[in-house]
Amino acid sequence: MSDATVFVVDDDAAIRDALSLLISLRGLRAQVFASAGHFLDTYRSEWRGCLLVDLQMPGMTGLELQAELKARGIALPVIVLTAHGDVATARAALKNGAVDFLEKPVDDAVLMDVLGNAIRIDAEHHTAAHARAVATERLGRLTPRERDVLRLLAQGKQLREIAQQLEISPRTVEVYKARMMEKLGCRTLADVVRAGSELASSPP
Amino acid sequence: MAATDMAGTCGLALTGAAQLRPDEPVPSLSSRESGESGARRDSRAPDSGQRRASPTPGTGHLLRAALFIIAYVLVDWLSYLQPVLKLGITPWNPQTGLALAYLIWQGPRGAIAVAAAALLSEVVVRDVPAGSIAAIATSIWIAIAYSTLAAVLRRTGPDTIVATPADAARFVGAGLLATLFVGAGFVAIMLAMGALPGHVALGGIARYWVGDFNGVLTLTPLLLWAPSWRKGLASLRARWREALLQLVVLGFSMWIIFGLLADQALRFFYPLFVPMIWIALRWGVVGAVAGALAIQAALAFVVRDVGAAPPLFELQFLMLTLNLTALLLGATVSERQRAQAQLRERDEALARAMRFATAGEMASALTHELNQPITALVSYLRAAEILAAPGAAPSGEARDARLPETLGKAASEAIRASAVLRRLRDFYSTGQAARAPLSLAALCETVSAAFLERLRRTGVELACNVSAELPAVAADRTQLEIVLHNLVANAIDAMAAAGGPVAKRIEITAELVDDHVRLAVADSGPGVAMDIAARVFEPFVTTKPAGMGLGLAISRSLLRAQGGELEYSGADDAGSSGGARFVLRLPLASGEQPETRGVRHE
Repeated sequence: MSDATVFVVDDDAAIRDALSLLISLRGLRAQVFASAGHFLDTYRSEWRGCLLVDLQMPGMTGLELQAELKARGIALPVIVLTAHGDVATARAALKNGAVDFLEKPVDDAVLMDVLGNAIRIDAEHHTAAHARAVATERLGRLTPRERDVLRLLAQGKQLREIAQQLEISPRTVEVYKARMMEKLGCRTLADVVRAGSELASSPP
Repeated sequence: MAATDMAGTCGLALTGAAQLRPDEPVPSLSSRESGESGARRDSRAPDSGQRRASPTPGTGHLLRAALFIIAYVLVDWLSYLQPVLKLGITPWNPQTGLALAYLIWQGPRGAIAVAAAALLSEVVVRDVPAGSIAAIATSIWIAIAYSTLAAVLRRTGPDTIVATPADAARFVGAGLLATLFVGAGFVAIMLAMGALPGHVALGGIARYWVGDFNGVLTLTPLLLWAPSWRKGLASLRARWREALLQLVVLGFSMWIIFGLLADQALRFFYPLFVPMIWIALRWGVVGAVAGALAIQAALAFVVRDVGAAPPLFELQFLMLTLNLTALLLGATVSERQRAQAQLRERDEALARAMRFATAGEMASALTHELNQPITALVSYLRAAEILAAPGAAPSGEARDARLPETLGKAASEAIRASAVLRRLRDFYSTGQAARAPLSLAALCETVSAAFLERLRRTGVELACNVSAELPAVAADRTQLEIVLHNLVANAIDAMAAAGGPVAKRIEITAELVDDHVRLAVADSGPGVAMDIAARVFEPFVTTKPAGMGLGLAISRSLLRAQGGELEYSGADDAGSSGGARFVLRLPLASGEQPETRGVRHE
């Protein structure tokens, strides 16, 4: 959370300067870009935080930047700022996945609220993505037999049923189960069920 | 600022215009009207309403009838000249014109007053020469016949009786037939009563007819027009010198014809046509008819009191041709004058629409332009608030060093906002075309810059081939920008609508031709269809589904107001790529010497 940054993209130098000053004084880090193109060129995948984007910019507009971010798989939450504030563009921005739509001039209470919300969304995304990555990595370490045991356990089957289905002895199932739980770091059967559901949702 | 379609903003702007002046009824094209505006329209034309149908003839009606009868008898008495056997057969009967006007004005119920007036005339003016039965019969006959004519003419409405040449021709035709009919009937009654010998019957009809017809031709249109005499007086006051001169020329011609050459007046009648045509051309049908009436009255005076002139009967046939010329020529001129006035009105309406369209664009631009500095200003001030809070400063210092700097930046943003407002004020204070020397190259750059985003989105290429070395033109920057903006927007829309894989290209070129610069906006789109091409500059002609069709009309008005011109020249002109091509002609700024800076741009 501490490395979360607000990436301000606006063609108006004064607005960039003023917003970044205000944001930094409110305890967030801010980084400014004069155009959408500049942001895309310098973007690094480890950046955390959110984007504060002006809608009307020469070159790529805010809406087009949104589309480009989506195309490139960049998941930073986008807040769109506009000086026109018409309903049609607001709807378009929100439909494109903007987390919020602000009209210029925007007061800092509202701005900080929205920025905080966006950064939290990003952090949650990030945490969830991280957990998913870890789980995927751990599942990857299982042997095919261990996977089978996990899947059937998660379905609520008894050891004997599993042994029958896999045509092995219940004793062997016990061994697979112990090894699998150790690899996944599971302590209880509940942990196993949760891991099993992740297995079902992840690609084989 | 967003590229807003000029036509699109007009709708909003015009609605605003209607709301601004609630006391002025908005002309509605639809048949459904709100009760309020319908009522207001009625109240605006009270006389035409009463004229048609007043429920009960009150004292006002009787008074009018009495006044009419007195006027009728008086006019009959004044024009009772050279009668046939002391009967009511005279070569000039202005009282008939009066009666017809009265009947058109009052409707069929005026017939009683007409019959009474005719009878009274027989008694007062002629002392009942053919007996009381003949007098009563002819009076009723006149009333019935002219009521019928009035009913026919009333169908077109009393205001439009000679408004157009077609109306005038109808009036002449109906009048001719009716007067002939009345004359024949009158003579027949006299014959039946034995008051008229058979051998003068045809001559009597001819005399009666020419007298009535001349009376109707001039007096009736003039009397029907009379309610709007104020308008006539106003234009007379505005051009009194010309009117006086025409009167002098007319009087002089008549003095020569009827004074010096009285015995040959029939031969030298024709010079009267010259002042008559002059009057008709300058004053329209009302002036022409008034002029003809003046000649007629003068003629009657000459015949009555000078006595040296040839028989009035023969002069009256010449008078008839003069009257017909005046009436038909005058109606033609009036119609054209009216058309020109309508055209002027439309131009004014367009200019008004343009101002509102501009206001719409301005409002949109203003929102953006003002919100930018205000956003920065608010942010700086909020930042300063935090910086100035107690305890915010680094330890050991009285205040944060960034505070003054931030406040300074806030101030300059406030100044930036006020600069936007000043630009707006300048625009409106000089809103009516402030012509100043203007570089077309710079203008084209501005316009194409405004379209960058839209061009990219639509895949249209805009080439701005305007040399910076062209002499400056005299034009209002904002208005010319709007015109150019509108043309480029149209071109983009046309090509976007056409679709297809063809190259989409707009080219702006400029060249010096004699004393003006010719700026052309050509595109590679489908061009303008033949049937529309002739009318592209007419308002409300559009090919866009959501268009108002005002953009080009307004653009042309704007350019013309600045001494320029906007034309559509098809694709074949100047080897363009096959699409539409609009040419703007712009006058050079004064002081620019085309000879010394003869740059031609390809």
